[in-house]
Amino acid sequence: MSEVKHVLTTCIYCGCGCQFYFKVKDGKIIGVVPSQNHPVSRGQLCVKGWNASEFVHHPDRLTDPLIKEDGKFRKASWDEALNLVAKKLKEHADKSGPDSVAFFGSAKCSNEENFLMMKLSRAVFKTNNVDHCARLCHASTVAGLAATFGSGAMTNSINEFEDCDVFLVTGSNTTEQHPLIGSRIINRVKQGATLILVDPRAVQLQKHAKYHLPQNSGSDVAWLNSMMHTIIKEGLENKEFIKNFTEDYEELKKVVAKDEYSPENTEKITGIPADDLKAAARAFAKSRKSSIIYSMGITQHTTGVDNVKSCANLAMLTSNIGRASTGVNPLRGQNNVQGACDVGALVNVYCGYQAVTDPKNKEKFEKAWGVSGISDKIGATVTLVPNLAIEGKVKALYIMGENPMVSDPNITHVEKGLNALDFLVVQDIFLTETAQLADVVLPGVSYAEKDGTYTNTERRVERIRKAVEPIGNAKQDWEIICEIATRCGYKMDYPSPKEIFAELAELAPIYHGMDYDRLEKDFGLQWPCPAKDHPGTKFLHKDGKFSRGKGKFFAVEFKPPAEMPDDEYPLILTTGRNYFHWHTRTLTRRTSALEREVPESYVEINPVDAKKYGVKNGTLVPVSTRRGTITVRAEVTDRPKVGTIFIPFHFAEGAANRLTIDALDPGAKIPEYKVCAVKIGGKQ
Amino acid sequence: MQNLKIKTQNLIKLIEALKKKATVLAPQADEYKDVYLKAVSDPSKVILKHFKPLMPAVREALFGQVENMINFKKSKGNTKLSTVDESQETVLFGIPACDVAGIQYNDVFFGQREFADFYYTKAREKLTIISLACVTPPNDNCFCATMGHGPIAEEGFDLQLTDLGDGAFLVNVGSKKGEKIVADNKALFEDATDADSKKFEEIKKKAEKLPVGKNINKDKALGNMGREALNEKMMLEITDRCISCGACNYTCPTCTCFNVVDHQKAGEGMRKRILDSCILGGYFRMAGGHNPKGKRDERTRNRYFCKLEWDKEKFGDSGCVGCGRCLDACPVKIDIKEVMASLA
Repeated sequence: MSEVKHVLTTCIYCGCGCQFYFKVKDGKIIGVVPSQNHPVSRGQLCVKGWNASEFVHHPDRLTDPLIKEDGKFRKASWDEALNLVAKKLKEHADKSGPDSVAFFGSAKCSNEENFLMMKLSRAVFKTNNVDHCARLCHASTVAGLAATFGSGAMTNSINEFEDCDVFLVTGSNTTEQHPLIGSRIINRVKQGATLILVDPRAVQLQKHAKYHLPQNSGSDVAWLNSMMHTIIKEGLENKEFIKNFTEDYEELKKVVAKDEYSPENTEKITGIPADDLKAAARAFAKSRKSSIIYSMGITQHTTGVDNVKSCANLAMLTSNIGRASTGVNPLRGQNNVQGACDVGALVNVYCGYQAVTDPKNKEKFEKAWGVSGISDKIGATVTLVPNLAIEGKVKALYIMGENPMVSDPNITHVEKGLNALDFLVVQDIFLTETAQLADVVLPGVSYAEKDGTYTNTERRVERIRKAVEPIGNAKQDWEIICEIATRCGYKMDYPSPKEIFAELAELAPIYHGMDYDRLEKDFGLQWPCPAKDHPGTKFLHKDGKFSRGKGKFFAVEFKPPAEMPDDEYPLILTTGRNYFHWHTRTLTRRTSALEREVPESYVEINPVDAKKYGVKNGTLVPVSTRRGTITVRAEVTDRPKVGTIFIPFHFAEGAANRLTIDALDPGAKIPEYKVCAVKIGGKQ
Repeated sequence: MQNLKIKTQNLIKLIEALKKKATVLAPQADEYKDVYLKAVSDPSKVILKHFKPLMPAVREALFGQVENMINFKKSKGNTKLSTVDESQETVLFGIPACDVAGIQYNDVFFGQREFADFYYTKAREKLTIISLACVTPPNDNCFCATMGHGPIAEEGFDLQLTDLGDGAFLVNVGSKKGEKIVADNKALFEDATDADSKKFEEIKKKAEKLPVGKNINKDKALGNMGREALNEKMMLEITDRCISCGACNYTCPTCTCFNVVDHQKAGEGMRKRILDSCILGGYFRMAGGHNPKGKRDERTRNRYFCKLEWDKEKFGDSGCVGCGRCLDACPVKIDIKEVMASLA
């Protein structure tokens, strides 16, 4: 008799970190049931969660290593493939120096896997060229909140939203991208809380918003400064808090109090009516439980770090920080983008945000790993690698679980970069658009086949558990990394992910008190958790004690986006996600219910613009920027504001990122996905 | 047949006995205190208190979220098909009356109409139902009494247990299968006394009054269904909140829609059916792109019509059994009781 086994694990999709049980029968997953006691899922899931298993057994899964010969892939043994990868990576590092090799970790992979990826890069290859897709989503948060508060993560916890009195949601389509957080906002508003939505699109939350302020994309510093202008002018700031717990307030005041940031003046930049802005600013400032929630609409700009700092300024100005149901809450997109950052798959920090430039840290890690000569130079980000490849500075690239050929800005340029490499190895579970360009493809395993941990958006480190055996000859991702390291002359060997986590906890102060036995007991622990008897941390910066000491105000001036509409390209293109798909659609295109919902790319265009440019609903239209042209189906809708069109970035066919601009924030190196100049028309 | 009674320690022995011949699915807690129906290995771990599992019982034993239907393989121009039959002797133990009613609905839908569903029928033949009546509502969302499907079932079970509160359960025998279980395990059962039967009647009377939602008049609500009745304002209000998770379908004991998907590679593969959701737009969209229910409020309305009107037309009773799971699993608390209350 075959019996159904239940295996508790963490959802692979967004940063909510819901947990559910896989129902497993005869080695196959036959269903998903949410955990009733888990603090986030509580017996509920979104549509992606309910359908989070179909792709696991999809026939497209990679089952064997592939080596490209004469432009075609052939199956290879693990030994052959791993030997080739190790030989090529080593050859390039030996010949052209450590920085000629680069590594991409993945926000879809576990903490343990990302930790090993950064260890491979730093300890074995002596380069800090290790990064991952946080560069594309919250690099500005990590930098901005670290500078202002001392910790670049969501300050509060998900369930605290159930007690908020005022929500300021900006650049977050919460009901679609963090559905179980979105539902908490809706439920709380139904109980009487006030929702301020600042978004150029009328997303679902707009129906629940008391104030919808549809700003012009890229004008965020202007409206945030204008809100602070109003608050200070009307004496609504918390002087006591500012005096006791913050610094550089006078610099901030000098800037935001300027006449150019009066609501009447910013209206010309932001498009937000002055009276609406003032009313919203008052509502936010007068409540003691105001919470800022933001996502890519704030971060994905050439002024991403400025935008984040401005959110932090607003929270400190009104003392809505360091208490329950307040704070600055960047919602992390991927299941483990918080974790991949925490464990140091970033160019400038080791695990636990310890700077690579600090000699003490270099010494610490050299000692821990038994090596010498670790680089203290900040490495090359995901967004800079294509250029460096074209310039011949990066020769070999090892990508684990990322798909820049769909996800990164200006794909045509990315493609040129990847093709300029001497050697590309991609580790994934499907033959993605990026894997197709690889010299060697290594089949890793899906989340259903592995043990490990993810860290959700509220800093909760949670277990994922192996439910089924690897498909075909696919191998554990952590084992692949160990094999490569060992073949490169550095013996990397662990009995299981548990021991990898123990090493991570040893080296990262914020994870120091965690181990698998503790994580096993409950539904995980929230960092910082510095000691074995520490219960974890629900919200950061308690009682005004900021991680960095005092909260730091940054006086930030408004700067326009890199490319604004003109006569030739008269509209603004903004990109984002759709509820039913996940990022580069590798998983969701192989999930029947999700793929059926949205089977092709589309462009949202306001009826006014549709009329002006002769676009009919449901027809295919060419859309062009200076980078390229795509043809997508038109959805004429009043969701986007007049002058702005929206295209989801999920689709390789009709790829929004053929159009996006690769202009970067100067500090965080995050691309400006949210604004570029576009026109309807052009030839593909 | 006269009512029987079984002592708690004998009930555990009964599970032990049943387990020898079948997979017994019964509510048990895991290390995270989550309770669900799972195969019994240690009968003493079974929760012998009335309980509403998150997923309806029908999903665990008869019509699951993902089911394999056909394996196929192409060779030399021929395609070899083999029907998958994964049915096995199963006992659903300790399920509530709403789940019994849900299975009765599915029995009609899948088994007693023009076409009998192969997979369902096979599994159903091998299924035994030992239900456990709810003497108090498992949670505030329950309204089975309003819908006439509990909290103590009248039919649809093989055996029904009701906790008499004194270390014993009253046993109703509901079928030949149930009689056989009693006959095979005679030593474990005893005759209920008049006092036991009286106590059972009292428990029943009390339990029926308890569930919330009792103030809704079902007949009046169903009688008032009509295209105008579910007013646009109410549907739009629901739609504004709905985050299209599909849980109201996935957890509903009487949702029977599935999608058929082929997973194939190089002429070899598997046909599966996957539990579907009518809250999703793709459910209705036609091949040419036209969608007769393209808006969410239209689909919301459709769902209520399906449950409260068309099921009644087709099968004589509403499809809603009052289990409240659509509300339990709804992240934004959309409440079918409120919809019904607006009609009555």
